[in-house]
Amino acid sequence: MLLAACAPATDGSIQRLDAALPRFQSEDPPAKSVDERAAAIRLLLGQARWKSAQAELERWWQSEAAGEAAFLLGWMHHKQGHFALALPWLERALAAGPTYPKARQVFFLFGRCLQESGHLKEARRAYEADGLLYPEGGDSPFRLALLDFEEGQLVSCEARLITALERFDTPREKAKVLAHLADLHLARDELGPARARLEECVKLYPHYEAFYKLSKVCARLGDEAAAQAALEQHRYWRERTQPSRGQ
Amino acid sequence: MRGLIGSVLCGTGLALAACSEAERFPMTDVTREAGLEMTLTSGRTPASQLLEVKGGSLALFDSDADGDLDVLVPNGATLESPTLGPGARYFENQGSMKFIDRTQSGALNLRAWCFGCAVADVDGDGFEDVFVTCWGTNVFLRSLGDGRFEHLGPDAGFEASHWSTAACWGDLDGDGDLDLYVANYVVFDPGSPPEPTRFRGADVFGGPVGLPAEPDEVYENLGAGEFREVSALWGFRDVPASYGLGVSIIDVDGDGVNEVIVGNDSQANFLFRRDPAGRFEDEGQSSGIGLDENGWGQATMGIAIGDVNGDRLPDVFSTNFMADPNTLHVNLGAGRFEDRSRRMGLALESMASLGWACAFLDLDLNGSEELLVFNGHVYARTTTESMGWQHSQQPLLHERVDQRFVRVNPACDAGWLRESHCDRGAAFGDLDGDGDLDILVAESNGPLRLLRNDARRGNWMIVQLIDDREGATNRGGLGARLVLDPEKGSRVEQTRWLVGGMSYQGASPARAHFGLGADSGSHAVEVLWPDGRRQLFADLAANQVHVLHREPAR
Repeated sequence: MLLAACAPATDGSIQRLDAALPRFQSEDPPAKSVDERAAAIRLLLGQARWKSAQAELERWWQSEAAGEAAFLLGWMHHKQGHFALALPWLERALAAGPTYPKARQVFFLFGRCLQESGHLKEARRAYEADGLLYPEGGDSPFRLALLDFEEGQLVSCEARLITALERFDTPREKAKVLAHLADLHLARDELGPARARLEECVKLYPHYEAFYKLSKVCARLGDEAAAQAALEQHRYWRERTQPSRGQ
Repeated sequence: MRGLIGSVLCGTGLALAACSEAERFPMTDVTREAGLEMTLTSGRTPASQLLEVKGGSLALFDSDADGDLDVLVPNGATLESPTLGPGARYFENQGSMKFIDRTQSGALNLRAWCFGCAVADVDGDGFEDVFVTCWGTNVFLRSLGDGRFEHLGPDAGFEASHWSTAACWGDLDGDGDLDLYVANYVVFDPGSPPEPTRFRGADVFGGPVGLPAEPDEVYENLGAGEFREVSALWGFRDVPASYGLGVSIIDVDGDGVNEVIVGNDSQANFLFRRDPAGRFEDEGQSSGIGLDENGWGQATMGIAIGDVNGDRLPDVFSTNFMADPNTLHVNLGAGRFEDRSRRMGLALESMASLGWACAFLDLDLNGSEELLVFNGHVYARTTTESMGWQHSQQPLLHERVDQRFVRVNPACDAGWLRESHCDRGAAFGDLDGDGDLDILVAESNGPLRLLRNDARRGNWMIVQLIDDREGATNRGGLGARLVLDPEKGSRVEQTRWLVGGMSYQGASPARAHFGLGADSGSHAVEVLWPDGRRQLFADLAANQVHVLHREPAR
């Protein structure tokens, strides 16, 4: 298969993102699909019937190279964790412009797939574009903050996390940001504030990963009782939610 | 349809000629000129069973005490003939990076399905010996010093017959000689393999998850070439059996007592600490090294140890499965570790790689260690491609920029970083005597590659230890810590540990290598010997190999 012979589809991605963006900014995508096949395919995707959906989508793409078919193929691969397979489809969806419902989401989706494929610079540009299209959204500042953190840009990271915290609505989303604000404090060796953020986080949305971090911070602070309690909560919530890393 | 996808992807492939800067990490493949051409065997590609994807270790060591580094390739076998493979190979270094295959004359005759190797001069005779782990009975190859080996296995006390993966020598009971830790993997019969399973929508071979784990083994050195199994006696059986793939014996807190780090696949790692009564207790999870920052056990493959923050404490890097980042556990002291992979720039870059061999090493001799990881997938190429993953993968080379690691852009640097392989083991050492570190790397069912380092940028120093006091058997000082210029307060202090078990199941020479940058002057090295004794060696000239002797007992 040709995929193996070539490098991942990233070179030129930034230029293509930049080229595609103005059209997405100036034109509104349709509220509904103009193609009657879309509803049935979205139903298949909603039921995780990937093979059937893929067959239908590829038929659609072959018949008229519709941006919506490419977008849904990209979304489908992303949903299955096949990030590199999603990239060429999302590139096509970008090139098609805002011709399909929810088309502006393609930038964020593209960013996620680029990030998971290890293309961090390109992912950053995709998130930045998403931020322009959704200026009130929390997703892009949150994702950009994670890239900032990995690149050692802690000031920018903190500002973006605070923005995301303000913009996110759900307890789960807010808790996610609080956990990362705790990481930021840890990076600055601010153990007390890190603990406070994590306590706020698990109060808002009890998550086994945050409880684990909390247990480690409490242990470093010498509060063994709190560390043990958090570790027990970590085990309890992990057992209860039965998470899987898919390995 | 395929044609369309292909043309899109090829048209957007990485630009290889876009960078103008000179190569900073040049390596030249000199395998053929060196006489090291061979293809490793590990079942077949594509693999149909777990047994076929975990091998590929290498040993780089001085078996004949002539000062240069020889090569042992344990090699695997095939499912059709799992106990009678093409055989291990031994290459003797003739100097100037020329090797001669001495497998036959060396009486190696080792045709089991071999995995890891642990090297040390176990009997203190001046020649480095090798313990080879196998699917089946392990083998102890005692070097006779003339390029030949004596096979010891059950005779020496190594009777167990499991699927052993990694092994490491180290003084576990503080009596001065070298004991042995053997990491075991799963109970596995290739004649009755586990059912295939599903992974991200694809059919893949089963395991390790769901298979019974094989408990690890620990052997006490009784002297005179005899060993006894002490796994239960010393407390190592108080933990659940786990899928061991890596092991290193090192004093993690500098208190003169060795700990054992065990990397487990898909499970929490162990950190065994010895109590005053001589029993070991697992503190993996309480110390923080057992899990990642979110409390997950990872699929630990390779282990590298270095001091990334200049505090003279060993920090531990491990390689993992795809979609799971490689992990750097920074040693905080007092027995605690913290996962700082993201903070130090190592997590996101590794998400699309499946890592194996790894090492901290100063390739460009600038006084700051890079971090190198070799990668490659385990599933069949068609399977990985159906998931959008690469079967053959580029290595990851990270260089230090301030407090973080930054990946060296393969498009802007040396060609070897752009090459994709399905790598497993690697060993690192100065094979041509020019002071920089060369790399020997093994591809699964692929060729051995010798990469000669052509950096020639900075000054250097290599330090080898010898404890030649009467009765000393840990002659090479395995377990020692070396600090360069301890009184100088240098920008980033350089600390090295002479320990085994690093990279992936293999062995690199127990020699400390320091890059010195532009500094061609003399340096001091403080040695903390395995028994806790400190010794300062001053006025060591740059650009030399120094053999430092333990001071006589007083």
